Amino acid sequence: MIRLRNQQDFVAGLFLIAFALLARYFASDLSMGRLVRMGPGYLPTVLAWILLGLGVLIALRGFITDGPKLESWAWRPVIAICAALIAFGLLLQHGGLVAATVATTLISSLAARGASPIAMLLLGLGLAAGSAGLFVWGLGLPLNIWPELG
Amino acid sequence: METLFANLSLGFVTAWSADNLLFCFIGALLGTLIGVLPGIGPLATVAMLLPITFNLPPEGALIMLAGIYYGAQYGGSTTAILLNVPGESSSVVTALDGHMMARQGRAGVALAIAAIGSFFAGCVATVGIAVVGPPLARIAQQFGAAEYFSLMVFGLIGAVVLASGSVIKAISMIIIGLLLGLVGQDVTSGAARFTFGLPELADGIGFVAVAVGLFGMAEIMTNLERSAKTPEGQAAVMKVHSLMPSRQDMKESTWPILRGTAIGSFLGILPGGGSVLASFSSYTIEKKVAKDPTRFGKGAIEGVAGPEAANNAAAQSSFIPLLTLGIPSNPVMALMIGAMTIQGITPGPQVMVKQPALFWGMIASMWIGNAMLVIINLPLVGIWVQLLKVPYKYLFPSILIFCSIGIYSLNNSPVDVLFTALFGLMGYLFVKLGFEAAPLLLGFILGPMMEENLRRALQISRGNLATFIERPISLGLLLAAVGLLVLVILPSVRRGREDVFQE
Repeated sequence: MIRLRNQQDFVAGLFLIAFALLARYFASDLSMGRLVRMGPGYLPTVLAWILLGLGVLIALRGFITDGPKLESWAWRPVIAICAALIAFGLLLQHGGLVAATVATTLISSLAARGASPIAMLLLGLGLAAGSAGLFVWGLGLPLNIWPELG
Repeated sequence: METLFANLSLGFVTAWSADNLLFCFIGALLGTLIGVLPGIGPLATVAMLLPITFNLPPEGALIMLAGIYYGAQYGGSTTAILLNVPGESSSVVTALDGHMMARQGRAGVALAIAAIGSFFAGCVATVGIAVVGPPLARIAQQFGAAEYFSLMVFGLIGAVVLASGSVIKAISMIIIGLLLGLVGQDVTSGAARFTFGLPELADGIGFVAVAVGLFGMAEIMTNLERSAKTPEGQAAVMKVHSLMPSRQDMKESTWPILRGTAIGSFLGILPGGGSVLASFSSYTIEKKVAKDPTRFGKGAIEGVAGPEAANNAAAQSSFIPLLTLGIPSNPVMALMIGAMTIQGITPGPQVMVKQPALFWGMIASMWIGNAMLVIINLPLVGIWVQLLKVPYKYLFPSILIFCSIGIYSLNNSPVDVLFTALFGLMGYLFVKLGFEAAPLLLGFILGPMMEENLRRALQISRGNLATFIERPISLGLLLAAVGLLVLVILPSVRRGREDVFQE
C-alpha cells in the first residue's frame, strides 16, 4: 500500500511544484529566443522546468523514505513580526519616525507573551529617541521625525 | 615579495586613517553586540547590520562590514561558552567543551583562548590572502564567459555539497534563488520580467530585503516560537573569573591553534566551506590526535582552541574567492557581494587592479579588526554578560526597529520594508519545510551574473553548447562539479558526511 512517510518532504515538493508552475506561467509571455541569442524568457523557463522536476522528485521521496511530520506554525510571532514591519513601512514616510517606531514596537511586542504594554511603550519611546539621535542627527538620514502636517 | 610588502603597506595606510579605524571599531563592536545575542548567528547579524553601512564611503563600508563579520563570529563563541546556546552552527563545537570549561569555573580562560586562537588564525589568514590573491586574480583575468559560467556552477554545487542537509532540496533552493535573482528588467532586451507591473521591481528585488527577511526576520520568528515553548526563566549565565590562561593551557593550545589555522585557511577557500565546516573538521581532528580523546566534551581546552582558530581562519580566507574571482563561497560572502554592488563596485579580479587602495585596505583592516576583537572582547566581557541577561522580549523589538530604519533608508521607500516582511514569512515557511535558505541567497546573487555569462558564452560560440566542454578550464570546473555531486550521492560518503554534522 502506498503510504505517506515523509510529510515534510511531500509538502516541500508540492511547494516547489507550485512555485515552478507560477514561474513558468509568468514567463510564458517573454520571448524565448534561441541559444545563440537568448531572449528574456529562456533561462526563467529552463529553470522553472528544472524546479518542477526537482519538486516532483522531492514529493515522491515523501513516499519512499521516512521523515518528519509537518510542524505546526507559531502564527502569533509570524503575524506580529510581519505586521510590525508593514506598519513601519507604511507609517514612516508621513507619520514620522516617532510614530512608526512606537507603533512597530507595540505591534511586535504582541509576538511574545508577557510583555507589559507600558514597558513596551517606554521601550518604543526610548528607541524613537535613540534612533532619531543616531540616524537622523548622527548619520543625517533624510527621515521625518514628526508627522507631516497638512 | 617586495610587492607584497608594498601592497600590504598601502593597505595599512588606507586602513589606518582615523575614519576607517573608527568604522572598523564600530563594526567589530556592533557585530559582537548583535552576534552575542543568543540565537542570532553571523549571517543574520551581517544581514541586519548591512543597511547601516550604505551611507559610508566604499572603503569604510566594506571595512566596517568585515569588522561586523568577525565581531559576530566572536560574539557567537562568547554566547556558546557562557550560555551553551550556540548562535550558529559554527559555534556548536565551541559550546561542547567551552561551556564545560565555563562550568568548571574556567569561562574566562575559554574566552581568552578563543580570542588568542582567533587572533593568531586571523593574522596568518590575512597574510595568506595577500600572498594567494594576486596570482589567483591574474588567472581569473584570463577567464572568459564560458569559464565564469562553469566556475559559478562549480561554486553553487560545491556550496550545496559541503553544506549539511538534503542535497536535492538545497539545489531546489538555488534554483528558486536564481529565479528570484532574474526578477526585474532584463539587461539585454529591456523586457520586464516577473515585475507584476510594479515599477519598484524594475531594478529587481532588493537584495537587503531578501537577506534580512530570510535570515534576520525568520530567525526572530523561530526564536520567539522556541522561547514560547520553553518555560519562562533566565538561562544561567556563567560567571567569568580569571581571564589569564595558565602556561599549561597555552602549551596545550599551541598545536590545536596551528592545526586549526591550517585547516581553516584551506577550507575557507572552498565553495561552501567557510567557518562551519572548518570548526567541525578541526574538532574531529583534535579528538583523533589527542592522547586521551575521552577528555573531549568534558572541558578540553584543545576543543576550544582548535575550532575557534579554524573558524576564524576560514572566515578570513573565504574572502579570497570573493576578492579575486568575484564569486561568493558562502552566504556571508554573498552579502558582501551585495554590499559591494550597492557601493558601485563590481566584485572580481579587476578590483585589485583598479582600486588597489580599497582591496589592500580591506585586507589590512581584517588584521586590524582581529586585533580590535581581542581588545574589545576581553575587557568588555562583563558587558556582554550583562547583555545576555536582557530578556529577549525587549531585545527583538529593538533589532526590528534598527533593521527597518536601515532598510527603509536604502531607497527611502517603504517597498523594501514590505518585501522584508514577505521574505520573513518565506524564510519561516522554509524552516518549516526543512529547506535551508542559504543556497537561495547564493543563487539570488549569482543569478544575473550567470545569465549574462551564459548568454555571452553562447553568443561567442554561435549557440554551440559544446563550448563549455571544449574549453579546458571550463571543462575541468564542470567535471569537478559533477564529481562533487557523484561523491555526495554515493552512500558511503553520505554516511561520513552525516557523522561529521551530527557530532
